[in-house]
Amino acid sequence: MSSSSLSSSADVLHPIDLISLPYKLHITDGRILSGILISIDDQSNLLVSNVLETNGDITRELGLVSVPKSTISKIYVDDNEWNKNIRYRVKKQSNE
Amino acid sequence: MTEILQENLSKLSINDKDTLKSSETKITSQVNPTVSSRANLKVFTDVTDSFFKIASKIPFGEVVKSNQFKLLEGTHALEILNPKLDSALLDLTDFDISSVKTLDEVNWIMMKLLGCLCSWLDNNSLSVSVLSCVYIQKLLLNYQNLEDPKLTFDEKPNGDVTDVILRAFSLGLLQFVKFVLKLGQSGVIYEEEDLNTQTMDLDFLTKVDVAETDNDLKVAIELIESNYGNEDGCNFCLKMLRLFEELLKCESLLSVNADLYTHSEFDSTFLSRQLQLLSELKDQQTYLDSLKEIPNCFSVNIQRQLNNRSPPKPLSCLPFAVSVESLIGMSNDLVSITKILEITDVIELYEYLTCFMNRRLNTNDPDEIIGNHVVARALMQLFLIRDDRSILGSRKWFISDMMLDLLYKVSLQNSKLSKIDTMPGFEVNDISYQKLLAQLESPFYNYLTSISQNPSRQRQFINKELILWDTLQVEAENFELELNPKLNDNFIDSNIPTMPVSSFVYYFKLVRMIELMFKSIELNLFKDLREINIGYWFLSYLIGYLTQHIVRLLDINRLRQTQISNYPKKIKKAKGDKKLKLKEEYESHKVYLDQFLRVETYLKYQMNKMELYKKLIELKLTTLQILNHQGYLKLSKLCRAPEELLFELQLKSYQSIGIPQLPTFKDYQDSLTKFNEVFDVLYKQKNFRYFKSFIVTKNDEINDDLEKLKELASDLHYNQLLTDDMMESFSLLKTSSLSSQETLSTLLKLLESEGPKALKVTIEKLNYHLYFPNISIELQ
Repeated sequence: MSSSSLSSSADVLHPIDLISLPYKLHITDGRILSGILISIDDQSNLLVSNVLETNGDITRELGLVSVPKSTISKIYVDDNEWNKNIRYRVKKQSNE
Repeated sequence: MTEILQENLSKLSINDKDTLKSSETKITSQVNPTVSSRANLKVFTDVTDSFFKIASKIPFGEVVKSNQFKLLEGTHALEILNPKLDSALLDLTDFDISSVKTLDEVNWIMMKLLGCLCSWLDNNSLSVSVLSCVYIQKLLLNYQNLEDPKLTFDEKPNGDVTDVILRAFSLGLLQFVKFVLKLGQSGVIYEEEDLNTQTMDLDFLTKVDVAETDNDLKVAIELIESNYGNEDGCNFCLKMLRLFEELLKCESLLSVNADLYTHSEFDSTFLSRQLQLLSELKDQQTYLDSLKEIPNCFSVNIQRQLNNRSPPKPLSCLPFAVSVESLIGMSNDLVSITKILEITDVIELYEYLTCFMNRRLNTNDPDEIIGNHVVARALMQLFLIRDDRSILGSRKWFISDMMLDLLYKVSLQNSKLSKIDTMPGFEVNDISYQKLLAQLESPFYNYLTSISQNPSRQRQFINKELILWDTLQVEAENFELELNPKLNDNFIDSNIPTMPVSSFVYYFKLVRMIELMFKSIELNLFKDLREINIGYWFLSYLIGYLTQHIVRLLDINRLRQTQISNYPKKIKKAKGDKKLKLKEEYESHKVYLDQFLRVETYLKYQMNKMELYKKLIELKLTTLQILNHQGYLKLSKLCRAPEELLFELQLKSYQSIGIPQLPTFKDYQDSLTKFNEVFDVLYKQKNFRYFKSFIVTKNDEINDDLEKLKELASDLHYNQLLTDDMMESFSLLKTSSLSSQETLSTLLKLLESEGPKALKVTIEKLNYHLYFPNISIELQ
């Protein structure tokens, strides 16, 4: 992903657009949490639902998980869903 | 503006292509059978920086969330890397399952597993109790192995003590857990409040038949009997295996199909055997104390390894003696359920269900009110009411039939209204009448379901039921008042209509209103003396209405008896066809004479009970109102809410009730003022003779009432279990009466000798009737 596209998505998307998308969160201890983001606060702490935790060979369901910003090393998002949101915002802006 | 947007779009399309090519910034979700398919075949992009940049736009103090999500739900979230909430931070321990070789070691594990089972039934989760055992975990994981399901601990079992005995025991235990899970998931009791049914998504032997497990238990028993001597270890092991053989038979209660009041046969000997085995197991404590602990056999591993929506929790296992006592309690409660088959009529059944609902285990903890065992509660409802709304699976008795039976017994029998379907010219009225009867089923069903609830939920159910009874009362009264000029079913020599349906509805409404307030006292909802005083004062008011209404029901009952006894005179005077008709009517009516006499005894019993309650309340109210005079019922200075508002809030459940109307705060204040004025004069003179003689009088009256109650209870010929429960209740009422008298007497003595000094007032529940806890008073 180029730096220009980063700035574009960050400029175009609103915080509400981050909600309800499927993410993979890489945690500082090496775990990966996959789930749907349902809430985010002003400190970028996340609430993720339907979480699947992958820890080495073990994958298990955790349900609703709160992920403090300090524990996140990387955030991956479903490409299609993310781009759909960008397209929606761009189209909305062009209509305005 | 448009140009910038176009540029953004073009950047986006380039970016799409770039990201598709890039392998460093993308991960494709792995294809893993345990991972939900929703995650498959998706391309994920690293958006860390953009994400945080967008999130930084959230204004200070705000939260952005999905519309469907309620922030309150967020309190249940598990926080990552928080040691108190993240089960992934738990330390794993190693345990070699082949290390257990001896019978003593197996016995130790079985003892612990029994403790874990009872801990689960005591409302802990399976993950901290039963599933914490490495053998149980292995067995369940091997069972649900998709490629090669096995019901063994090991890949290659070698037939040693663990493979035969511990395996059979574990299977027996898991079958019992499966049965209780089925009860818990049936919607009768509440998840987490009564039982935790979270299974960590493990399959609890859904496809393993109980008979198969029973056979495994038998094989294990035979193995011990043939290979081991009569030592303590061998005896213990045999008893534990046999206990689970018997416990697995509890499910048979759900397959009983019986008609009410027919004394149907049911082989409940397994419950006696359970109790016998548990009593014998209690004596094995010395042997169990000699067993060595097996480290790491029970661990938190499963909390870290399997699907887990709960925070990490320490393991929970009840001591063996406590577990045995708990199972004895359960078996005894199950025995009492089977007694329903011995019941002879709806009056006894109603009284039995009320008694079952109000059974409590006395504890020292003022906030802990323990009802029947959770297994018995859930089983009771499923045993009593079946999916097709039949009672006990009968083809003749449904909820509506039982309700009608009760209605007939209490007030409708031989009334003109009950024959409306055969009376010409009443066809339209009959339709309305049938509709009214159908409506009665709703509050009655609510009552039937409330008996299986825990004490707090029982109160909630009653609260809900009051509105239903109240609405029905209005409808029933309108219907009967409108119809009566045509029916002319009045009391003898008067124009007062009997109104049997309304009378029945009003009776149950008043009974439930009183129960609601008593349950608030039982549940310790009233936290200060002022609230307790309001509670008892309102109860006294309600009981006044109920006793008046029971007199009315007794009058209806006696009217019907008189009508039957008047038939011979009428027949004598009549001639021809009329004589024959009257004879027929007499024959059909007189068969109910015994029933009327029985209901009369029942109503007298209820009347007596309410009068006894009223006298006990008078003792309590006198004590509380003297304390009020001394300033102990005043609101705290910190309380900003007006007393009137608090009064209204406390009695809010009754505000929507039409009759009896809720007394006003002024009525309450007036009663306090009146007492204060009289007491003030006596207090200044230190003349408490009136109160001293009041105590003596109440003592005599209460003793007389208790004697009468015992006589009436014996005349009702209830089954032994119900009679025993009633006698126990009388004994507690007696204790409460004595303590109330003593408290009032102590208070008067203190005021007489010490004058106005600081008093310490405490509420004590242990060993007192739960509706009448002791108010203990001493000098501070």
